[in-house]
Amino acid sequence: MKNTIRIERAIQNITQAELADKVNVSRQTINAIEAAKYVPSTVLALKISRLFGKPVNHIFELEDTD
Amino acid sequence: MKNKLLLPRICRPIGWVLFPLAIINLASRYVYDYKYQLPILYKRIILPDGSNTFAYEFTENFAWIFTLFTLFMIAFSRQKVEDEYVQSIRLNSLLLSIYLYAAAFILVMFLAESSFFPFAIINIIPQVLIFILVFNFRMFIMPRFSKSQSS
Repeated sequence: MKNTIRIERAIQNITQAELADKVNVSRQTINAIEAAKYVPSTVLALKISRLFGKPVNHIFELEDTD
Repeated sequence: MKNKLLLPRICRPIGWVLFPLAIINLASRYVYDYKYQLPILYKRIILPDGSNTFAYEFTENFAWIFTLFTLFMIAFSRQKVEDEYVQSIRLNSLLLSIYLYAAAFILVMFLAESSFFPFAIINIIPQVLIFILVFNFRMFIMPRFSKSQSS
């Protein structure tokens, strides 16, 4: 599953640490999600999408291999 | 995401402070043949020849249990931010540790003498058996109870 968190962060000008702090996870978690090494839970995906003010499927997108 | 089975976060630094002491305690028992000089230990068992093995046994048992406790405090206490990714890493690490432990035991069983075999079996089998019991109980038996309650 790919995501646009890095782009959304750049638009809103916030760091990984700030995003992590706002959704109550570690910076390593955000880094792993951005690098597509970890697929977040529904709750975390919803928190991130709410923070960016966009629907979940705008930020997270399924790939053919999923 | 909260995991109630984890120890409080303060246990980790305490564990790291106590672990070297536990290693020194173990080393003093085996390298320097040290035993605790507590009067109560000498009143328990006195052999006919006047010697006392209880103090040595108590020192040995306490040293191992103390080491085990410090390792538990380091291994199973909360991280600063305890989230789902950390829990996923912890689960994978635990699984990998069991695999490595089993692999090491199989290797040692081939290299060591046959008297080591029962000891090895006693060490590795219960862990896997308890895991199967707990996992299947939580996976298959508990959801049935939940369904009947929700309907």
